Amino acid sequence: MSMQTSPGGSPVERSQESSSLADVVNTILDKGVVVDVFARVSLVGIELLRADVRVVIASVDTYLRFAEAVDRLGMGTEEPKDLTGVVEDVTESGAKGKSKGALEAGADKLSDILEPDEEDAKEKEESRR
Amino acid sequence: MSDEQRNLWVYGIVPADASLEEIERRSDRLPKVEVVEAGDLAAIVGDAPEEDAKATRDQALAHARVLEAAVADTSVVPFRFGIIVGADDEIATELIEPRRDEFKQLLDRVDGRVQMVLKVYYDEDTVLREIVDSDEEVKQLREAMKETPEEATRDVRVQIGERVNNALEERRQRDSAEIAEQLKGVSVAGTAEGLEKEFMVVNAPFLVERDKLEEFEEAVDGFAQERQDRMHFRLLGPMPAYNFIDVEEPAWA
Repeated sequence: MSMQTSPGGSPVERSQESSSLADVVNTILDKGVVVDVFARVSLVGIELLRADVRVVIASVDTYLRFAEAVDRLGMGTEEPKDLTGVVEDVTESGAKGKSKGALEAGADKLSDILEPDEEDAKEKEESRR
Repeated sequence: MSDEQRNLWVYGIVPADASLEEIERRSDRLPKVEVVEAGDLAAIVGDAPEEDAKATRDQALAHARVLEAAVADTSVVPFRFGIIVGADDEIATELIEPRRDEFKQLLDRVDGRVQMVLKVYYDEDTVLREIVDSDEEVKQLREAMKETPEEATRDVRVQIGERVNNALEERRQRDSAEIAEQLKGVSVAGTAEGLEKEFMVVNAPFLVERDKLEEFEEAVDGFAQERQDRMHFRLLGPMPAYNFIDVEEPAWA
């Protein structure tokens, strides 16, 4: 809605008006002035809002995801990898967005290295929100 | 209880003579708000949302957007999400009057300043490739992972992941320090909030003088140009100085 890129092809994505909950939740729930005499209402779903954007970093789950990402990373100097392992692994982890990425990365490794697929990266980012 | 009894949502406090034209201009995509004056201060208020999850979510975006529109024209003391006052006449007598001096101090503190939030993310594949290329052990573990049957690789995977995580953290420290360094000259203060994604480099609110906004944006643009092959940049704001309102003399450490 309010997304815009500044003129002159800046690589910085600008948004002058908040367009996603993920961007505002932590700020408005934790920052800003609290006036003591007025009890903050317990609105339905406030905690859900917070859970939506919570990210836990550096758990074993994170490590496993990193390993998976490294595994499917197309490295220039290597023999093409058998896809079976990748597919099974991804199905197991149940990440829908990722399985697409893994398949694509496996299928066209070389072109992947030469022209990193930005759309795909964005898509993965979106699916985690 | 009087007939006027209703629940009013409080967005923030502004000077009573503030123009608030941007709120008017964006009225088609903002909830209806009113400005209730009390002497030289005023509260921006509106109807409180219904008590259901969807209304709460909508109100979260609305809260941020109303305050963003207000800060386009004036200094704002932003209220935290979820503060409700019972009736119109309580705004002046119960909310503003007993805290007039505090609110004025806070308004002075943010006078002529706004908050910008810079969110930087690594390009996942690029940074992973950097890490694998520069770490023999990760390379070897990666080979080991390929040669071992799928079900027996969990330990190796955890090892790889932990090593990648450490390498990522090192890079994050280095890169975020560099970014902060580049923005010190064009901002009053900066801080770092929790990361929102695994491949995030930094999530950094900055306090910026209004008349230096352009310089600030140019500085962000400048280093983003140099780093766009391995990082993505998002810049949010201007917004009220949420992260600096409770700091008496915000400054770079």
